[in-house]
Amino acid sequence: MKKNKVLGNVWMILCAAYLIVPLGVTLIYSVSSSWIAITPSGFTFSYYIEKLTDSAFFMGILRGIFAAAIPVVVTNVCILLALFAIIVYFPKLEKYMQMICIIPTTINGIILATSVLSTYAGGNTVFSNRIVMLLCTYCIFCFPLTYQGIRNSLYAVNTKRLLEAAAMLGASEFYGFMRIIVPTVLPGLMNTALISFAGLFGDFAIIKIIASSQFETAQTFLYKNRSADTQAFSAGVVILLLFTLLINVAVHKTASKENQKEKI
Amino acid sequence: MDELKKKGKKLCFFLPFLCIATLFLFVPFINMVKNSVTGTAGGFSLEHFADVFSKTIYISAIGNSIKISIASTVVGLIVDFLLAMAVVNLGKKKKSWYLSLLDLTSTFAGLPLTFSFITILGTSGVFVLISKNLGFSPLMNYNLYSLEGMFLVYLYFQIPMGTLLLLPAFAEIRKEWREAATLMNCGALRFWLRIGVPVMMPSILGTFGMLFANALTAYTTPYLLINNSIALLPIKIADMFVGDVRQRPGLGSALSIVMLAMILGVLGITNLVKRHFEKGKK
Repeated sequence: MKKNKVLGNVWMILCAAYLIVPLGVTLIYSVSSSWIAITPSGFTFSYYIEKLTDSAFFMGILRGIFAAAIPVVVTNVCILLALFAIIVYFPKLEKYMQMICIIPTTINGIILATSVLSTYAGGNTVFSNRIVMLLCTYCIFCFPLTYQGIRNSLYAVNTKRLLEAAAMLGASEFYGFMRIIVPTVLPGLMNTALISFAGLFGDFAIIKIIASSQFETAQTFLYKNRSADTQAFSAGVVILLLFTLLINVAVHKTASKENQKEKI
Repeated sequence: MDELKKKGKKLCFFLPFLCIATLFLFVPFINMVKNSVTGTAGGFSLEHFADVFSKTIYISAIGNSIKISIASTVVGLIVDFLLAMAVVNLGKKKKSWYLSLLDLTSTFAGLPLTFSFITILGTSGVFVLISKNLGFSPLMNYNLYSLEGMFLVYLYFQIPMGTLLLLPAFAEIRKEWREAATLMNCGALRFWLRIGVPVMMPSILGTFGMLFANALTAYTTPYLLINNSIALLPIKIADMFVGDVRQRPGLGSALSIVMLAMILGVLGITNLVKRHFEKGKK
């Protein structure tokens, strides 16, 4: 028994090292002035300053935030409205909606992106605009997680009962939904919204296929400049990693807040 | 009539959702299927599928994709299983620390992750240079830009995902079973082979399907590392639509459908086997 525990610990340490080393080394590499011998030499933040003052990179991050935030908001609104109607008026339609929302887990990434591209590119409709195409494809990407998150929160607060009570006091169902249900579940939705946001912000495949030349995010910027100075480059990578880390911390914060609420 | 009108109004709540789903999920999907069975001269034809299964480049793309997906899934699953087994027994504080690490690394995918690997194991990567200095031969000529070299990156993104998916299944293994087995003189290895793994089989198979699909459709990592030097399915598909060479959406759609069929095939098989194990449970 004890031997097993030791083996387990060794295994965990090995796996943790495997997960941390690439990130840790990139971090050290980006703050050292050179690393061609066994140990890095010198310490500098100049690569970070260079990256952060580079307006193209900075704008890329802003564009990435924009391209990730809009689809998350749109998807949340669409699914909230649809689920409201399902819970209050058409409970029988739920299984169909669930089916639609699960499809993108199989038809994912490049299959979706290439089929959208070949359907709308070259046309004269509003959808042939690459940015519209990108944002809408991102919406589909968010479906499974958002649906799961919203559904769970709406059932957790017992939406139907609350709305019946509101209706007795004279509030219409939709008014009650907007004024009572949405504010109650909003903090819970933040959690899944942030996870979707992190996923979209880290996307490279879809944007590369649909809009790489029209819309430059931080990811595509780094890709274009990959042959530039490697240390400045890894500073850019670390900045992206830190940004994802930040989102992750936010996810944990909102999740633990929710848990605390449940305990009370 | 009034009733109908009322119902119609209520159905309006579905409009935004259905609009997006129709325009960007169903229409493109139908279009893709249509493209794949439309010949270059127009009309119904299976020539694209015939191309896919007769030209060496596409056959090797499918073969390579299956190879790296299966290898990274199987190795990943073994690593994940042992890791989840160890993490379950941790104390509360250590466990939450380890879970945060897994959560965090599961979002470090795609471009930043691949470039981190280039920094350490690329042609002038840090570890490669250090090994050259030290004369440590296994890493001296590490070739990240090959199917075998890329395996490490694939394995990297399989570890957090698989472990997080497997962890809940370990909760199903009750402590009493273990104790009862020990009382009957059953060793740890035998316990896991005869009791633990079969009980967890549905979750293991589900995780297998997820990891396989994850590896098969991975685009960013192979695109950045090997691009077109080795044939791989996702890259071939994307090239048919946005490549520098002639675009061939028909062939690309056929390849997409082959890839989709592979995912659905694996999910179907794992589901069938899963049923077999679940039957035993009931």
